[in-house]
Amino acid sequence: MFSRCLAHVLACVTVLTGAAHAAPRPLKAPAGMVMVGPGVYRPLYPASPAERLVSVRRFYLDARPVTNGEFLTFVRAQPEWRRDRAPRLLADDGYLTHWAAADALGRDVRSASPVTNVSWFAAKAYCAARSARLPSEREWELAALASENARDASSDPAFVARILDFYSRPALAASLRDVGSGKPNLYGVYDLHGLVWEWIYDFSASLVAVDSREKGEADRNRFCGATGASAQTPSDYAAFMRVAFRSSLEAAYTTSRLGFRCAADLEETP
Amino acid sequence: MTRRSPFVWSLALCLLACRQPAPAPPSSSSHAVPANQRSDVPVPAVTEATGPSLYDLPIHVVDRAGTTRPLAAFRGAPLLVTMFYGSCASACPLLTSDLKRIERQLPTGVRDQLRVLMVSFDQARDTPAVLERMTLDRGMDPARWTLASASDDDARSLAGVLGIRYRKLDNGEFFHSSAIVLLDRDGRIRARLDGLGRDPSAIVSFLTAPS
Repeated sequence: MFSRCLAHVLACVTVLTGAAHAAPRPLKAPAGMVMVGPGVYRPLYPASPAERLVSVRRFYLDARPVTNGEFLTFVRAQPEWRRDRAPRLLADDGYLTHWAAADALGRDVRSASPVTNVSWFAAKAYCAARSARLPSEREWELAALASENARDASSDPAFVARILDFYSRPALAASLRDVGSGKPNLYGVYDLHGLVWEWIYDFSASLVAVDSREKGEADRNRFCGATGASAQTPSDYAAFMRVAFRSSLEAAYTTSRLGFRCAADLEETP
Repeated sequence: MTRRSPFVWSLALCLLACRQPAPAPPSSSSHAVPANQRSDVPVPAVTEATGPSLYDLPIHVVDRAGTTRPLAAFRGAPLLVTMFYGSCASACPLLTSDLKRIERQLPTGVRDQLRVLMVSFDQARDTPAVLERMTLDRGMDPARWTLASASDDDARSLAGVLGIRYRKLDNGEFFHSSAIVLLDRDGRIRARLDGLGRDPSAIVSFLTAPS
């Protein structure tokens, strides 16, 4: 059964990557964004057997997480998103609490460090104001597969070790470093790992708890790919951390290590 | 290899989705545990009277007449809100029967005041015509029950404020958690039932309490 599954997977990969070689048109990325994909992403918990491998279309992604300075500009332009005005239904009590004031960062907050303590609603509103959107899970995960020199570095031990090191570091009160100070990945995207966790558009589609509660033979039969995932390789563990974290989120939550970046559709116009 | 039909595991997951809250990541290695999950204090079933109103949010639904209405159009009467998708053969009829069970426990006068809003996250398939047929087929009082759909973005936002999780599968089915949320006449969340077949006493007691 396993070999049949593997053959199936390889066939899918061949088809999907083959489709990826369509000639790209010259495109102008929105300011601050780079083009990512197309590619194939293998979810840790496939939502259905047909989704063991997910093809992801090309899209634009912010090269860096949104910064405090950028978010301040947004809040000044849309004061309904000030921390003293945003409804608690859309942003909990922690919203922007690290800023000195509702409309000022203060001396202790770096303008170029990633904004955190933002809810999903606030992040979504910020992106909408830029005519952009939050990346989907599959888009974010595709971008995050890439190291400095490989599109899929999930089997690169050094790359995986770096991610796990970030996940295992305790959350310190120390201020976050500036965005974009590391090395970009192959797509030109900075800080997908090692700085902050990031909101995705469909965080509330993460249902890991559902899958993990299902025990026994039925579950193993259901997801051929998931059987492989239970092999517990380090890269699976990193993916599990992200799925578990997203599953724990609610749309109004804010935390001191959760930021975001925006994405946009590729406009295939000349 | 045993194959389960999508129906079976859709049912299983619909049912299981709401059994318990999702686990927080291990605290020893977590950078950021959401504030609301930092303690084990149970959330009270009935929330305080003060609080933000869903009717302040720019969320719209499309009803069975094809009319786009803001959520705020439901202001003025207590409202039970839930989310579903019409082609779900398993959990959604159970959700409907839960809603009817709540209604049966209410005195006539209270029930006549109550409104029910079921919002589909499957706008492509739950067209006004489909919603119209469903309203009639399932014996819902069209004067008080509104079946509607929402755009992807509005559905995701509404699910966000209602604490409902869902994932669209590539085959058009949805995995989703089920919740029934009670709004007061001003759109504030006052009680909720997470999961199917739950004891609705929190909702019933709010609705029947002398105001």
